[in-house]
Amino acid sequence: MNLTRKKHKEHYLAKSFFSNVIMPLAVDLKAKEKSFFPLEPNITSESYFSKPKRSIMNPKDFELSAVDSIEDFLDEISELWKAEGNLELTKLIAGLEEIARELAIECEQEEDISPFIYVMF
Amino acid sequence: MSKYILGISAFYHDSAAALIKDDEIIAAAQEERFTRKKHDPRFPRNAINYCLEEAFINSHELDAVVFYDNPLLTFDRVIKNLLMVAPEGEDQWVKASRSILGIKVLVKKYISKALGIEPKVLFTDHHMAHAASAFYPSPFENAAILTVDGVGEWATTAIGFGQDSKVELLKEIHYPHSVGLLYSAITYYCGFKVNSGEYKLMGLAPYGKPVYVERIKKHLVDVKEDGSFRLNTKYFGFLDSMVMTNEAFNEIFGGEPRRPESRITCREMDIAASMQAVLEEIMEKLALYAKIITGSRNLVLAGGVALNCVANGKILKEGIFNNIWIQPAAGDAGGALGAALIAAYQYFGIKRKINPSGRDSQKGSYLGPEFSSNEVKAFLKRRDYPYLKIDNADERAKVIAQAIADGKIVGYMNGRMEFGPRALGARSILGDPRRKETQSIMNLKIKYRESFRPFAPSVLAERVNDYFELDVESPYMLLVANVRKERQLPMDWHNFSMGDDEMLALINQPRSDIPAVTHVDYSARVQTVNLDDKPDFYKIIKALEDITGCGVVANTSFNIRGEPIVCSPKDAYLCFMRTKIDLLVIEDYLLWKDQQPAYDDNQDWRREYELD
Repeated sequence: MNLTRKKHKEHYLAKSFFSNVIMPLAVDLKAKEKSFFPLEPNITSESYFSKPKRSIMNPKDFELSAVDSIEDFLDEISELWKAEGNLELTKLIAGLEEIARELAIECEQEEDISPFIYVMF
Repeated sequence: MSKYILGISAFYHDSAAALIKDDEIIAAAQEERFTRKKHDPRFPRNAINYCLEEAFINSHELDAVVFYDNPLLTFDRVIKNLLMVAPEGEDQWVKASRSILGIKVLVKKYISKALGIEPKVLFTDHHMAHAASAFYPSPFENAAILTVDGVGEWATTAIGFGQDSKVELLKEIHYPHSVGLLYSAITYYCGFKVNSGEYKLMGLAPYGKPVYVERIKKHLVDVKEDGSFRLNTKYFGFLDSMVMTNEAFNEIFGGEPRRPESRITCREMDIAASMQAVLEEIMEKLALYAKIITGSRNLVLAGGVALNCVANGKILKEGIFNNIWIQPAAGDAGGALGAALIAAYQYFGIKRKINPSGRDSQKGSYLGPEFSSNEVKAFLKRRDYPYLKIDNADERAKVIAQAIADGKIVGYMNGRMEFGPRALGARSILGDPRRKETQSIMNLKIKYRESFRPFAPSVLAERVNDYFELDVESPYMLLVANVRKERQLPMDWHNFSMGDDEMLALINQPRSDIPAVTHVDYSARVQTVNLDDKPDFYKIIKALEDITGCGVVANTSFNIRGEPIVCSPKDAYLCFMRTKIDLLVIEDYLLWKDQQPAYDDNQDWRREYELD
């Protein structure tokens, strides 16, 4: 597959994932009033600090993200979501796997990254 | 058996590599210096090669490669952010999915492929890497740790405690509530580039009045007494669009964002002053809270916000801590160093040794490549460039100092390149701080940048208190202090109403007896220079003092606007010939501009570098 066609397919898959997987799940979560983070200040709160989930790096913590395959990565993220009680997020796994396989890179980041999508990195 | 540990930061902003041997920092460099692409985010293969060369090892001798970020938690944040903002956010997702799902998912594989080996690949949390970069090289047995940046995985701010070989994080603030992103949003609104223009906003602040402080605190950010804060995200675009701000944000400040490169007005100056005041309030409160929960007399800082030397200077002045140390590569590049260090101590169990001299272990941050006299000679001979060689360092310093005293501008390259964004006398442009025209000449004819920012003073460490209201060392140019009262000259603000033209009316006034390094509020971004850390540079300033009585030199990074700081003799020569620099010094070789062959540059080189 030439580069232009490959990029076109990647683009299509990302858009399709957003429309067909992210959107319905987002609607569902909104209906259940489920939120992953606060969007505005809480004037009555005394502090916005929280305790870190991991306050010290133990030796095994250094190895947690050292996965060898897309399946392993998605298994890890799936386990994380299950452990948090966010079971509905595991519905995303199949779609993410499809995109990740297409993107399994030949190893170079070609484009500049816009600073405006900081939050994506 | 020694352990060689390579730290890497990559794939977002300012890629870098750092190599340590047990607990000694051997080398560290940003990828941009080699590729000549500012803030290069690509995998730092050149920086890695350099680090390995510096240690005389091959990649298979590495005990571990440590990545500065946890891709799993970053991915978790990206997905949850999408779910929170959908149906918005599609453009961001499509644009970013290649990097997030294509590279970051398989960082281990990527590293193995790039290095051609299968090393032990480890990962650390982003703020843990920043915390490690701040604490471990510091001269302290224990310290409160404060890390503040845009975002890393979920955290945007962390308070921790370091004791001997252990770093522990105690408190965090999570995305999207980020003072780094708030500062960047205002930077964008004022017409400067996000992720590189923040220091311009800081430099603009002294021209303005903080009249928007209450508006910022009422609408954009709620700050608690313990320094914790939360943004009101309805005013920001970064969660769901390709811009930092939105219409609601514009309404707070009465109109559209300033267009880049257009005239700077009073509005931007006042917004900058207001944002700076809010940041200082947050940083001071965070520091105070860090003191309360750790009880330490020492504070260490890292994260991109720790490059805000004005805020750092305020924390120092408040006297909350007895001692402060700031990682000179405080941004993401420094995460490479922190990643390697925390793996050394908390994965491999190496015992931390504090520098017995009482100084830090950062080696002056001179951790990059250097070029031998023979290499420089070969370069100059091959190109047939006329030069004068002066072997004796004292004699050479006198010639350079005399040139500076005569009003010449000197491009200076000597020894190992600095790690971090500041030029500390290894890759610097130097000028006479006493001349009021130095600032405008260096800004407009050499740096080709905005005129409103003064240069940094590099001062003999033992003379710092003679010039500045500062009585501690500031070797990394990360503390701001005022020029001493008796050196200040009264300024006429009468003609200054609004706009860049009027800014020049201020800039051209001699604000002190060292005007080129004195900001309009009499502040200065001080670098103290110590004979032990950087003898060649110290000798130049000492010689300048002998000639003129002034133990200060004006120092700015050796580059033009948008260009990474020079690394090699070739980079230095190109910058020299493309600007009004009078004298180029590369190690013990001196090159005068009027003796050089006509420079035939067919390229439109000013377009080579994207303006920052």
